[in-house]
Amino acid sequence: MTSKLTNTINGLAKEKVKPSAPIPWEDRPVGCSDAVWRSRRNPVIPRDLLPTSNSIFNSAVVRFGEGFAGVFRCDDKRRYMQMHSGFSKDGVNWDIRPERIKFKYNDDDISQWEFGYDPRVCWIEDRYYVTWCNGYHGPTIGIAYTYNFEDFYLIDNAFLPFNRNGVMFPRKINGEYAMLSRPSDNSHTPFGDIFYSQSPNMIHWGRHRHVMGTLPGWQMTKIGAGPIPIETKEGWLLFYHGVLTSCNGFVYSMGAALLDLEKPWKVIYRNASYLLSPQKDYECVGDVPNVVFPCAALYDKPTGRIAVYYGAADTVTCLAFCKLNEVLEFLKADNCIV
Amino acid sequence: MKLNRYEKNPILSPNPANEWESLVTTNPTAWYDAKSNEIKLIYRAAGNDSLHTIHLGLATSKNGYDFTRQSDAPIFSPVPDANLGSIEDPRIIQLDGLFYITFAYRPFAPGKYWIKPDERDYNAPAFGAEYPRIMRENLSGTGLLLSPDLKQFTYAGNLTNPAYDDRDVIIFPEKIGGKYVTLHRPMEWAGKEYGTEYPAMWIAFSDDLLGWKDLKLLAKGKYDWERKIGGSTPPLKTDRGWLVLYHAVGEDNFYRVGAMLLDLDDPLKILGRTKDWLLEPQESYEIEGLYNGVVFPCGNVIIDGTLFVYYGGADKYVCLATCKIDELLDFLCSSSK
Repeated sequence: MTSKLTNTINGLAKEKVKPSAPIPWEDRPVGCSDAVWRSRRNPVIPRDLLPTSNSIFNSAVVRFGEGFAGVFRCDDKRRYMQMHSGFSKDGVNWDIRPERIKFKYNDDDISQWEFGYDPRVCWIEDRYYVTWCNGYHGPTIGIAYTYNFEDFYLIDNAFLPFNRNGVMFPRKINGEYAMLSRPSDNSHTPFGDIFYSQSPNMIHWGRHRHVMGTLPGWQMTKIGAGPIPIETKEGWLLFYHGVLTSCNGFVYSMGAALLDLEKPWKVIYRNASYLLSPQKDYECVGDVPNVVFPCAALYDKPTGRIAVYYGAADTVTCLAFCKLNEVLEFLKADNCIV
Repeated sequence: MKLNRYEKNPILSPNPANEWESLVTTNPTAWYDAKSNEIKLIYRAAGNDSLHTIHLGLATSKNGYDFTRQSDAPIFSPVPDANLGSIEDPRIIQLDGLFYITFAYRPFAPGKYWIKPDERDYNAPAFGAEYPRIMRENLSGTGLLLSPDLKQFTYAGNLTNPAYDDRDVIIFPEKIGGKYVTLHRPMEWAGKEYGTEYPAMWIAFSDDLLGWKDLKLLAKGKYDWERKIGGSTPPLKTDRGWLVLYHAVGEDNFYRVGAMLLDLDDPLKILGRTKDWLLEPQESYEIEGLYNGVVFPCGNVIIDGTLFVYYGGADKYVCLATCKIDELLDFLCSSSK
């Protein structure tokens, strides 16, 4: 539809820019006063959505095109940890690809696939970056990018082993890419703090800064960043998981913190109480009991709504909801940073 | 009147996964391709090699904002054996269905021009006085690529005189009075005998696109933010004249953007021109890169009444700024009075 004027188009934007689908949402249940509440449709992704899957959990979703896309942790029936891409029109009903993601790469040295789990997906500038716990002689942070969730290009591991829970910031900070991670050990990690690192080129990571460590109670054993931080006027809202060691093993809960916008290793507020802890059957019973583990959050700026995706009991994927201003209010009221 | 930056700038950044574009993606040109109903964007790209080899890459968009790279390989790369050592700053037009892409070239790769020559691992080779000046000084000329579909490209030769530096050569997307019309920026044509103190914008009308044989001075630096000026974007035909964005380098060595409106039938006639710049380097992606302080458009498209200006930031990023086309044309028309 060109006019006789050069390089002038009428009707392109109207035809091509369709409004994106609304993020999943359910109002707070009557009688509930918590800052975060669960979806009535939980678990939104059952463990056997794929015929080959043992469990689908700890997965990351983002807005994509007119709907949503994501990278999913799908442990198969051999109990190998794999990642699959998936698409959804509404963010709730998912079409997960039956084949695991096979990364394209330039460097044979890093091409050997051992395992990958707990992905996060982050849009930065012009593409989606995926970070995950990647097997390279021990767990570390793998990085790849994609434009379409069909082709994934492997870049390189951000760190030496052992590291987990690599979570990128959605824009450069002070001119550099920024990532949170949780260095630890090669086994079931009875310790771990959140650190901040930056990189000029997505390959070389440095200027590591300690962000925060464990605290007594629900976050006594180890902590790790969850979804991509949400930028607010007051700071970066970070949902994270904290682990308590009980006489029956680890208990994974979710809390929040607010990090300084330009110096995200400075913690402004941090929850003393958890926002969500394993209490429902699907969180308490499964391959690993007593786990809620957030890996993604969709934020709708105009309404302030947030949909948090979390893995439950290392078995299924669930949704929880909250509102940005209410979480910030709760965070201030429940703050444990002096 | 100013251009508004797109909030998600930069729209393309260096891609660490492809060596040829891992350091630089900048100075983009753009055209609406009616056949595929998308905006095609061709950008200058380079990796982190000591020669600083510069290529052209291709990305496309359905809406003018979100661009997707079309290949992990460049669409055109230097041909050192043909003395095309560096391929820079593309400008695309479509004329009678054929795409014409002019590009600045140098006989040899430039090396890392942003660091001191004696600190580089490589500098362009030296030649004796018997060699052409363009080789001795690794000057810029302008080459031409032709393509029916932006898939197959044919290098059609050079459009400039090898005796002097002439980049920023831009073809009008329509013949006027049966002639090709081209903008030029001969670097050495400055001084009393040329009627301009600093390098300026020249225009030519030709039968063969070899406009250098007869250049006429079109416009020169006039205001305090302008010294050297040169054409930036392929002229857009509007109902009120040809819209041409140009770049101006000031005393502070910042590259800024201005605009002029040329008469449709006689483009030597300037109907309006911005007294102040439309865009100047300000954001980190414009002042922190390989050249600190440059906004350099090479392409523009009008989509639903909005002018989309695609520009390079800091010799490193591809960025977008927009304005209402009517507002800019009103502004230019009133500026002449």
